[in-house]
Amino acid sequence: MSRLAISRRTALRGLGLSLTLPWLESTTQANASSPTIPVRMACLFVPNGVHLPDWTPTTTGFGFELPYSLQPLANVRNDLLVLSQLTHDKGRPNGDGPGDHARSASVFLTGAQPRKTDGNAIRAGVSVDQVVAQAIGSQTRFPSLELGCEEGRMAGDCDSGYSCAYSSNISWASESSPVGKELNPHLVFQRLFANGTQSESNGNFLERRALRKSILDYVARDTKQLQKHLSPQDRHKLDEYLHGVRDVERRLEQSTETSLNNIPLGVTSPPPGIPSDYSEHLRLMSDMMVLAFQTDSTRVATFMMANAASNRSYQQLQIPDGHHDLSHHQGNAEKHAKLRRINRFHIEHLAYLLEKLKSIPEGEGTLLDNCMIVYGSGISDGDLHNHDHLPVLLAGRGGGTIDTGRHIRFPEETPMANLLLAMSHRIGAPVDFIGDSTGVLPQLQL
Amino acid sequence: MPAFAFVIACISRHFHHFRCAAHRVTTSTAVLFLIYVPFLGDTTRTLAADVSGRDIGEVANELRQGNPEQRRDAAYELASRGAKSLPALHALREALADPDEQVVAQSLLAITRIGDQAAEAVPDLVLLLADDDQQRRFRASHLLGRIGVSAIPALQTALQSQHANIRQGAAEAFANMPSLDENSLAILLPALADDDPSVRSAIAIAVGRIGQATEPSLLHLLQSANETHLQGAIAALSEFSPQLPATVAALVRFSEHPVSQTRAHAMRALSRSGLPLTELQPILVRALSDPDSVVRDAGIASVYQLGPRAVNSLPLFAEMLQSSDPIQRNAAACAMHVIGPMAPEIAVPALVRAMSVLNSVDTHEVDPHEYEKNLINAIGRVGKPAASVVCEAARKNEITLDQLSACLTTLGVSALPAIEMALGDTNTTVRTASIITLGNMDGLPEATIKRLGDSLHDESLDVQVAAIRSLAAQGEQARSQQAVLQEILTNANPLLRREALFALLTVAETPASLLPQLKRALNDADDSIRRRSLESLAGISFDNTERSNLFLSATRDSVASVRMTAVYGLASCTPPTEAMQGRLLVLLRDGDPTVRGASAAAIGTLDLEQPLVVQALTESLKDADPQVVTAALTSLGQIGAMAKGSANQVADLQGHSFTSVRSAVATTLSRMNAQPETQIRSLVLLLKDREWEVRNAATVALGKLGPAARDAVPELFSLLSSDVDASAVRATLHEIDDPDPRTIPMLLDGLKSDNHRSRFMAVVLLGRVGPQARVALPALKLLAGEGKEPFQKAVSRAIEQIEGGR
Repeated sequence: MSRLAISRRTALRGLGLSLTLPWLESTTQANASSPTIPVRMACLFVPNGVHLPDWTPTTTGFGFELPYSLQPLANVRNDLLVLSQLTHDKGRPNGDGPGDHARSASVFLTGAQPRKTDGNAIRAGVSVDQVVAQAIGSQTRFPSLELGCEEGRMAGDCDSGYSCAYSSNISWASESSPVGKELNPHLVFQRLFANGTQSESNGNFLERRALRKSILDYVARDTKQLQKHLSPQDRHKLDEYLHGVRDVERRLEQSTETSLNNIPLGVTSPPPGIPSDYSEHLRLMSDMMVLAFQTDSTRVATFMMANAASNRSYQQLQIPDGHHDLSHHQGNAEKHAKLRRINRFHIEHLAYLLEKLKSIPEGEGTLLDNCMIVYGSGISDGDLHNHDHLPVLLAGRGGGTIDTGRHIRFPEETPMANLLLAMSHRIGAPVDFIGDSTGVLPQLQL
Repeated sequence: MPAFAFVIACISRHFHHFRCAAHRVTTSTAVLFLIYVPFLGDTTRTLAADVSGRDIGEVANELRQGNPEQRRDAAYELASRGAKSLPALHALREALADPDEQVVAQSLLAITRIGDQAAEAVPDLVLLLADDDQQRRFRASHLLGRIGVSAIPALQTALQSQHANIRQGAAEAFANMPSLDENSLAILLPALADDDPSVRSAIAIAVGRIGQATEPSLLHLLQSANETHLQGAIAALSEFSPQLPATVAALVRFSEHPVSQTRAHAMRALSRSGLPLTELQPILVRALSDPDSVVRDAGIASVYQLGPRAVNSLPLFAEMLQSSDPIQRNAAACAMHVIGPMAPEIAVPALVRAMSVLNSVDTHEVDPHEYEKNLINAIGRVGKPAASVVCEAARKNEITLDQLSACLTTLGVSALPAIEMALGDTNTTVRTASIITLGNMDGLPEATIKRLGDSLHDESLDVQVAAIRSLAAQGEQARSQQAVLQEILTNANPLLRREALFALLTVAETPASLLPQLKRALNDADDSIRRRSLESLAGISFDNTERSNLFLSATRDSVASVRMTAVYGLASCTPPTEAMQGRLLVLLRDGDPTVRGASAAAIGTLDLEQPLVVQALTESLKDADPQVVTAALTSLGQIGAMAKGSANQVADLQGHSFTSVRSAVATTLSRMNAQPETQIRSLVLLLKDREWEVRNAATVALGKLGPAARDAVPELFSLLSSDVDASAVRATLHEIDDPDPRTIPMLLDGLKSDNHRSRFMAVVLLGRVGPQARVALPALKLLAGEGKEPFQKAVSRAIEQIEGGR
């Protein structure tokens, strides 16, 4: 088999479409002895804190047990770190009174105290994903990807005098410019694979919808050509990747139809393309992230699974109460029981993402080995509204720079911004500090 | 060099954009403005570009003399400017005593970013080490470390303080100091014997950071009779790679010390030393077998540190897996996980053997599930070579089906060829496990799907069930096997029929395409099949009369769960038929509470004949089951004003023992538009409920009454002091907006409250009372200059309203 010089940027093309390739062993670069696998980073936010007794393992180090809320992570337990006692001091009131939820979101990736205003004079800090996007974003098709599942607002008072911009965003391009998140998985999919002029890309989209064709149909010729030059293992990897794309495509179609079918009479419909099933929405967005990382379309992503102070009910868990309402538990056992189930629900979706990343071979290991996925909340206990002892997980080995499988308990008041700084250093953006960081958490590596 | 990002702003609410360096694409039809925003190359320069031209002196003045907001902005700006803020250091130091927390915090950040040139701030920072606020102590300590050598004299004094906080802060500062050398040893070594363990720990880190030069001094301390000195010395040695033979020999002795932390530190230090592996191994085994998890942890960390050398210890770990000590076995599994894919020919058989004896071991001290997971994860880390070994073990019944399946799943796609081969194995367990594993995988090729379909004809029931479930997991990708699955719907075995139906619902193009099969399944002997069919039919659109008849018929099922599901199905039939109404009313008296509850809930969603329905639901309010009562309440609320005749019966439930009932009372009274007096009486009582959920529902309901709820103002006002109720109460008070003059004495008391919210609301409400609140003017005028700007504005406004009329 002759070895075609397939570069990392080789893509399968059709009119208005481009599918970049996943990592293949057959990939070569001119004059390079072996290609370097890039590190990717994603930050996932959940609101309203967690029920800590069901979150924090009782022992530290290796071999810790997974408490109730974290049990869905059993298959990836050795690929992650549970990080305890990290603090976002700039999420505390520090003289500004109520507004912990808004602060929790804005501080999560910035480490900066937001200015209390419900008007235009918003000020937070630059979030770590944007710091990184600035440093390395030019190496990929998109500097960064911002995803969400709940629509937010950029103006108005959402929390005790804080602008909705704070509650609805975790990604900030500058201290006064939040980066809006994409809610519609269709649009994300379109962006990932669109190419050519606007009219070519739109034309392709409309034709596919009308003829119920897949994007794979349009790149079939390129695919066949490429497969002739791949090793059996790479052919299988390419197959799996294309199946993954097709699976996402089908579920997108289905979610749109289901959304339209399930709208009761007289209820305002969700925007077309936004799944009405929250679980499916979470999974589709996770799949987009996986595809984006797999194809190196971007190396930085954020995902707000819900907005700060979200009061969504979880009917799929038979919990009609609002999440935020429940988080004001006042020690009530019934509310604790519901909260832990919601926490676990979110973790199940994190597990979905991590297992997907782990199922994709890349280099000597898997895609997850080359990722850093931070998951957490900017509030610890939703009733106390405290911003220390934050619930934080870090999954992935960061390209071999993180030793996973442990529960690390940091000294009190250790800034969570130190974790953000540590991540930025590992991905190629070695800035001096982020927010109120004081160091780079050397404990991440033994 | 700063780089820039183009930010798209939109005046429309419905705007989604996707940031892209080269393209900007929107889905909105709104007008777009491109705003050029200075963007960071690093975070220190955020504001430099924003406010370039502002003299540092000017900013420093603002920091000293501005109002709180100005001082905050000034501190923020100085922090953003980094080392360029050095000329403002004096002002920053003064600002460390500012009454505003954010001014202090930002000033600390600013001084931190000035770094080692901020030596003149040392005395102020040392003072902060005694602050009550933990965060300030933390920051001061960190900053002292950054300032470095110039802070050492002050820190030396601080290390001798009587106050533990100060000594801790000083020790942390040393631990954070990058530029320590052996000249500091004279200061640090005595502190290794501090009474406070956190001081000792931080000093150990500081000493360790100095490195090799400290080894002779630490070795000397190892001979000390002072136990704390000894422990501190060992902790310091674990921070670098000790090399002296005498040190290493001493550490070997200390690896058996009675104190666990000492053993742990000794282990870590030895793993970094030059001790030959053959001599290190027995110590490592001892650490991994230690009864204390801290020591075992140190052992596993040591395996990490050994790197590729660790593979030479594999035979030892394999032997440990056979130990009778569960702690040792579990630690060995963790260690083998660390080693990963090295030497699979040793690792995998050992791990498999360990799994095979799992059930017979004493599991008193270690959770067997955790141990099994550790073994499986270790196998997963080995990778592809493990697949054939675990399959062989299953053939010999050395491991169970579940264990084999878990191993293969953990191995993932790398083991796919071996898993596919196992589909044709002569051993049932192996075939079943491979099928289960394939079901957990995405993106199976069609050839593999077909083989799963072939497995539906396997002689073994386990294999058939596994194949059905795996095809179900593949969803639409398994559509080629739909016909085969449909054949199974007539199988004699109810388990197979049930699994096949469940599978078809995921495999078929749409549930509607299975309509004939689902209708037939309503007569199945198995109730779970009947129930699942009903659930699916409820989601399918077809002739309404036929639909409702199917569900009606099913409401006569002998099994309660089937009847309940049928009721939910009826709720999806619109428009409702006459027969439906009659049947639902009968079902309100069903023997099973879940059926009664479902009926009560369904009635509220359907447009049924009101008087009969309201009467029946009101009767259900007496049900013994609280879920039924709650459902009936909810339905009465959904019916709305037509049900208001039942308001008294609803109100009677305000003392019910179940929270959900009391909460629903509040909501229902509001929705049924009951007489305001009836509502308010009940809602005011519910405001005193012990459960937040109930109070909240009552508060919101009162808000909906608007000014009619003015009699509730006193009770609402007293609830303002509750943190969790405050925001809802505030909103409701605004809705009521018409406080009765009789509340004036209470509001006057509120002006004196310690609670800021209560004071604020008292001011607002007195203003709304208007001229009749003249008696409050003296108290209000006293408050005129107090508090923050919003409060002052509220006071002025209230005075205007009272003096000038509303």
